Amino acid sequence: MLETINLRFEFRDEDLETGEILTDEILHGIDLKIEKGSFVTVLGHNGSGKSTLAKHFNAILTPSSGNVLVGGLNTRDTKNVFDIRKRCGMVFQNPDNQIVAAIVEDEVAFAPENLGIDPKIIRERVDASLKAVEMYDYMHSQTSKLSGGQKQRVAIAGVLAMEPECIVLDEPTAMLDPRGRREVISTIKRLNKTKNMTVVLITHYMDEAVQSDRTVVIDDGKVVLDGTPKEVFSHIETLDKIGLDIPQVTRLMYKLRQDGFDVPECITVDEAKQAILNILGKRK
Amino acid sequence: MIKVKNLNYIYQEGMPDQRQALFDISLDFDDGKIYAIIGHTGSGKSTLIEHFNGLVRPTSGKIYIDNSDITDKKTKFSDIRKSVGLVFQYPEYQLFEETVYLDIAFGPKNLGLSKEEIDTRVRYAARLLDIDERLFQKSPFELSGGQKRRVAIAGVLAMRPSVLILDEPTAGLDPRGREKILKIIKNLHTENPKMIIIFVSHSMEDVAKTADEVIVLNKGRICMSGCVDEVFKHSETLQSIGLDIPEISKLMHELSVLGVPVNPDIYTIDGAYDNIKKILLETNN
Repeated sequence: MLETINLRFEFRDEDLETGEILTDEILHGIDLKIEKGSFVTVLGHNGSGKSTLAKHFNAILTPSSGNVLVGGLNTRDTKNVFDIRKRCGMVFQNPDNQIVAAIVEDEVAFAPENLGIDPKIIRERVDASLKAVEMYDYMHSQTSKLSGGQKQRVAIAGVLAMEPECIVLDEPTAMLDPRGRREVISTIKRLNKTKNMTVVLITHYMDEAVQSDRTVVIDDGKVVLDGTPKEVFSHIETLDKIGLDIPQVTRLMYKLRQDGFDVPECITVDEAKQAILNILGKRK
Repeated sequence: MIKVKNLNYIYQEGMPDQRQALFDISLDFDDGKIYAIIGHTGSGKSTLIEHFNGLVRPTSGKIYIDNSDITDKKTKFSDIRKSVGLVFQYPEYQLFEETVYLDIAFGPKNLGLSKEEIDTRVRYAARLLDIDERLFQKSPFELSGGQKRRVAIAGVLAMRPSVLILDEPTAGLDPRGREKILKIIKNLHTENPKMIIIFVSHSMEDVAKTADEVIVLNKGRICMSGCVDEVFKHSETLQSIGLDIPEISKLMHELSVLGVPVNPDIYTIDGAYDNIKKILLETNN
């Protein structure tokens, strides 16, 4: 569905006094293949290049060298941009910066209207999208009166109304409270499972990464780790060095393992609980 | 110290959409301690702290700061705001000056201090927030998110307040930025041993790492208060009012319910490690 081939990206800036061109390479050759229907999280701290990478997936940015393919279409070809954005929608961090309409249903209809779709079909899509994010009952509400989590779900519905194959979310939960975060993450997971939507979630919350099929860790513009969350979180030293969080239970089990106890790698509370019960011989 | 007595606050009193945000809050804050206020969105956390520097006047009840009644109509707001510094959520959105130096100096300048005193205070605040003096002549808008936030907090500390209040100081930061802010908050007492520090948070991990005392608000009322150990014992209550408890709390609690002789009140990795290791060694023998 998404593919980057030796993707490099540099920012160019001109020094206004000397006219000198300044360049700063943010992505140093990224090779990634994201399969259709998968749920991939991209972890990395601020400045790692993860948002720059995300913006390549729907041609907001194009590579300085290398290629990005979205459903086989190259983002470098300007003829493809319209199709690419239809196939791959984006949701950003700040819920207040991406909502344009005053009423929820108008907000969701915004993109399909711009695609010139038949109004009858738009109505169907708006209803279906709002149902998918469980915001159907708020169809006539003012967008400004919604909570952060609700706004993000409306933003997701706005993307769904274009019927994309893929949705890229750039830290959609960073500004939300715990309940808002749970709402958004469960919505994303449901879309992935029931609609086979390809999901790329950029985040620095490791508890969100734990729930995905695959986790890619980006640091200093390079892919450092790539695998299932369990594989990735087994590299505790690497993650510590980068300065990323590790699930508390993963660290606990790691410390016990280092003392010679025979406990497996765990990334959830349930796994850790089971592991401790097993070693105590109290199988549930 | 801060003393809050029977504080009530009603939004839009007398209007059709009137709503009570705080119910009979009584609290004491002692000098030299770090307090965390936690609660779900809408629990009244922000409304409560906005009372402490006079942004909001209580509907009824009293607030004393160092024995002076700040709810008294005669008290000047400018005096309260000199001693109580409030850092809002996402304070970096309030940066506006041309340079980092000028932004930090804005508050002291308005106090009418001498140039030398302003300079001393800017450097003092920058040092506390770990802001490199080489950044002073940069525009605040060229900085990273974490740096911007530290500059905004420095602007408040340059007022040399005796009470510092921060509304969700780590919201939206990555783990490194979060860690850094929390460490700075914890270290403020080295140079200001008497300062009262109050921060609002959603993150129980942050609270566990940083606070001495915790106040839990729920629907405008105090649900619990006490030292961190005490409050974290009530993991079921905390979860029932929509708060996330640390994973370790969850694990220890669930193991305890299943009859494993762990201490269910443990909430840190190191505590759990010692406790579980002891149990494993005992069963092996």
